[in-house]
Amino acid sequence: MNEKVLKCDRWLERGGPAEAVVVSTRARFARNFPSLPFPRRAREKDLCAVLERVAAAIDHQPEFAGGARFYMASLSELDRQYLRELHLISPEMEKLPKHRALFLSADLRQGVMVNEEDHLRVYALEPGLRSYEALQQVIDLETSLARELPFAFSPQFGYLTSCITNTGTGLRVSALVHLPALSIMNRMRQLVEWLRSQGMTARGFYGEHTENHGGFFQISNEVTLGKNERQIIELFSRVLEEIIDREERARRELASNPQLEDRVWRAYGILTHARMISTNEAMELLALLRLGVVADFFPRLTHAEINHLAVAIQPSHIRAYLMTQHQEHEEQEFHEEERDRARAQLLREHLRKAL
Amino acid sequence: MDEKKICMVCKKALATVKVTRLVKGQVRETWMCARCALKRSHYHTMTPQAIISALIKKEGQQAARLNEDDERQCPTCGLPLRSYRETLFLGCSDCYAAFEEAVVHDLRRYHGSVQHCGRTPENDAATVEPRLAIRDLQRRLEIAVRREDFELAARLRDEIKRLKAQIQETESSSAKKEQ
Repeated sequence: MNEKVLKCDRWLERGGPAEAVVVSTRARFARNFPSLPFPRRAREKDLCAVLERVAAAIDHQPEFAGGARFYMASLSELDRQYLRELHLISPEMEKLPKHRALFLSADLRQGVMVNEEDHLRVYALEPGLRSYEALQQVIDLETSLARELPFAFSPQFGYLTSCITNTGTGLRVSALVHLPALSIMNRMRQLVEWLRSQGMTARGFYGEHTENHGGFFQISNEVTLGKNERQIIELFSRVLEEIIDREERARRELASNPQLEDRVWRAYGILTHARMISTNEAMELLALLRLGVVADFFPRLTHAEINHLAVAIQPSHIRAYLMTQHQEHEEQEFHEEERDRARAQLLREHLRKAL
Repeated sequence: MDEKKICMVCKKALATVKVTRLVKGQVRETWMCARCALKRSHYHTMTPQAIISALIKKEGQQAARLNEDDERQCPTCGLPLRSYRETLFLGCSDCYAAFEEAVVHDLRRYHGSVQHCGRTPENDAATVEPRLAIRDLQRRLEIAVRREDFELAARLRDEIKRLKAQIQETESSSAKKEQ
C-alpha cells in the first residue's frame, strides 16, 4: 500500500468539540472552469488540462507543501477504498479513478478533489463540531485558488455547477454524527422530517445512497442558492445544536434503562471476546459501546477512540491491518473469514484496556 | 388538458401526481398532491435528491409535451436539453444560458430562489466574522455549563480565547498597515 495513504488516518486521532455526538465537520465549495465541459461530459484532453491547471495552482499554496498528491489512477484499488473509508474521497472517485486526483494539505485539514462531479471540490475537514472553523478554512483556500484559477460565475446564478442542486454558493456544510440513542428509540424518522423542513438532509455513513450502521448519519444543507455562506452556516449550527440536544436527551433517558445497560455490557462482552466479527455487527456493537461511554461504564475509553475504531474496522482498513500483521508489502486479497478474524482481534486489542 | 384535480387524500391541495395501482386485477387511480404522494408512495424508499428529480421530471414532462420538438443543444458542449431534463446535470457552464428557462424553473423548485446572494469572485476577502463564531461558541458554553459538562466547557472556553486573540492580532496588524 501507498505509505502516504496509510498515514491519512491521522486526522481522526484529534478529538473535537461535541465529539460525543459529532465525529467530524466538513465544508466544501463546488467550482468549475468556464466554458469547459463538466467532468461527466468532458473529453480526456479536457480532464487532463483541468488536472494540470489545478496541480499548478496547488503548487503555490503554502499549506499544501509537504502534503499529499494522489492521482487516483496510479493508486491501487485498496488505496482508494482506504481513502474513501476515511471520508477523504467520494465513492464516485473510488470507482472511476481515471484523470481524477486528490490534493491534501500537510495537516490534512484542507483538500481539493479534482474532476469529481465538478472540476474542483475544495474542502476543509475538522474533527468534532467546528463549522465556523471549517468554513473559514475552505474560504481561505478557495480565495487563494481563485487568484490563479478563473471560476465559472454568473451574477444571477452564482457559481455554476454540474448539478443544479449545488448552484449558487456551491457550499455544502456537513457533519458526520453518531445518533445511537435516537436510533434505538425510533426517533430518527421524526428527526429526518424535521431536518427536511429546515432545508437540511440526512444521509448514511458514507454519503449519498449508502446504508447506515450503528446510527451514523451525515447531516448537510440542501439549499445553496438564495442564501449566503453566513446564513447557511448559521442554519447549520442551529440545526446541529438541536440534533445534539435531542440525542443527549435521548441518551439520558436511556441511561436509566436497565435493559439497555444489559445490552451495552453484552456488546462489550462480544467485542472483547469474539473471535470473528463482521463490519456491520461491529458497527452496531460500537454504537452501544458509545452509550456506555456516555454512562461512564468505561472510564478509559474516549469518544475519539470509538470514532477511530468505526473506521479502523472497515474492510480495506482490515486488509491493511492484515498486511502489516503478515509483514506483507505486496497487496493481497484475504478471505472474508480471515478478515472477520482480524477484525475481532483488532477490537480485542483496542478494547481490552477499556475498564 | 385535464381539468385541475384536487388531491384525493388530503382533499385540499392541487393534485399533481397520479398513482396507478393494480388492486385485485383492477386498475385503481389516485390523484394526489406532491406532499401526500411523498408520504404514501414508493418515493419513501428513494433519496431526497431522487424524489426531487422525479417530481421535477413529472412537471418537466408536462412542459416537455408543450414543446416536444425542442431539440435545442448547448452551443458550447452539445448537451441536448432533453438530456438535462432527464438527469438535472448540465454539460458545461454555458448550458445555464442555453437552457435558461428550464434551469430557472428547476432552480426555483429546488432552492426556492433564483438569485445568488453569496460570495462573488470580486469580493474575495469575505471571511466568517470571528465575532459571530464567538457568539455561537458562547451559547454552546452556556449550555455546557448548564449540563455540567465541564470538559466540553473548558474546550469551548479555550476556543473562544483563541478566537479573541486572533481578532486582536488582525486588528493590531491592520492598524500597523495603516501607519
